[in-house]
Amino acid sequence: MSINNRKQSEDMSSLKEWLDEDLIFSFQQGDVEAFNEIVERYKNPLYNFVCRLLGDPMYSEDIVQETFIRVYRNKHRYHRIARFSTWIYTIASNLAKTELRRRKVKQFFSISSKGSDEKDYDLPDRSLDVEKEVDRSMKQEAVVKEIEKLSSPFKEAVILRDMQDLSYEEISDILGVPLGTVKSRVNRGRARLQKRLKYIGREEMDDTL
Amino acid sequence: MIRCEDFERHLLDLHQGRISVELQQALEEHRRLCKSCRELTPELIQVRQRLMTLVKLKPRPGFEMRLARRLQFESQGRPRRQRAWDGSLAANWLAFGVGAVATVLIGFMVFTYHPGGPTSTNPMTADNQAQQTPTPKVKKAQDVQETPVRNPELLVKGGENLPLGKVDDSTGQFLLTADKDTMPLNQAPVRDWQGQAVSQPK
Repeated sequence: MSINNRKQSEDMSSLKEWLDEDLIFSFQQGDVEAFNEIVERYKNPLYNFVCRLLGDPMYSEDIVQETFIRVYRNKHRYHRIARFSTWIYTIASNLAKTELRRRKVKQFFSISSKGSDEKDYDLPDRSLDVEKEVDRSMKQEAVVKEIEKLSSPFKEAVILRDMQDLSYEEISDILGVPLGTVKSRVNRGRARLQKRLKYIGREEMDDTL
Repeated sequence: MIRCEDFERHLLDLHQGRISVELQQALEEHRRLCKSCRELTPELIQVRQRLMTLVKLKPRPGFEMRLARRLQFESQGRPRRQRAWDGSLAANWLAFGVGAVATVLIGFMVFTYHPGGPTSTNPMTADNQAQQTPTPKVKKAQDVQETPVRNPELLVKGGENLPLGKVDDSTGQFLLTADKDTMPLNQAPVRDWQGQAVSQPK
């Protein structure tokens, strides 16, 4: 390994330990490697969020790319008064909502039936036999379909809280609504899902207790 | 200080009595103060747990390369890829439709407009009017052929701009101006285009 490569490798490994806010600050100073690290950190969470919200893998990637492009172009608009994750999720959320409004999508189609990309979403689990795996996949698909049926405010709040595991304060900042409203939306969204999923995989839920 | 996120995390343990007394007291205190956490039931937490186990979706391999290509593409000032159908396209079609309708309406109005013509567009009514009354166009032509009444005082004679005569205020008669050239028409000399006499009347 040459000296330059080793130095680059050390830089890259140190970047992984940086806070998001430090990365964007470094990028604001002109460090493009910091931007690459931001993309590496956020491409999967943002894609999961947008794809669950839109239900469309093709447009989801388009929107996630657009989110990073906006970060790239408007890097100087970020100030350290807010968390970077809040900022980038806000951009992605606004773009996704604009897309939703534009298409007036009411019925999102299922993620799990997207053909060739299906392999990328499956988790390898050798311990389950085929029958159990199919059963589990069908139950997951049913849950995803029920999420897609939720109205947009509830769906967005539930996805950000229960799938992206963001705090209530972050969600409040991202959505621009009061903290109490976020909690209410999350609980109501969960309650609706609970009603609809009552008869799907009851035994699986019992197992979690 | 217990937050709502901590309460959610420990609720099932609290429900099953698998936590310490101190934590249980803190959670109970939080539930007493927080309205949304009072509404939280173990069933709702099960929904949360179920959602958390859903597969995390990932973009297709090569995402960074596609993003870099797009960044490079846009930095060169090239336009973004156009989607098959979007709002601007719909607006263009709408504008085109409105323009087409407006063109047809204007064309129809120009085609059907007759200045000075009959007001009724019903051919049967127009025929009846033509049979009952004289043709308006003929009457109009007759009106035009009538000699307008002119003020005699404004009549001028030849190139000298002299009045031919004037109206006597007392009698109301028109009196010719005394002029040596004024004579009956049959006694006037025939003049050419330059005003010179070419023949004398007989």
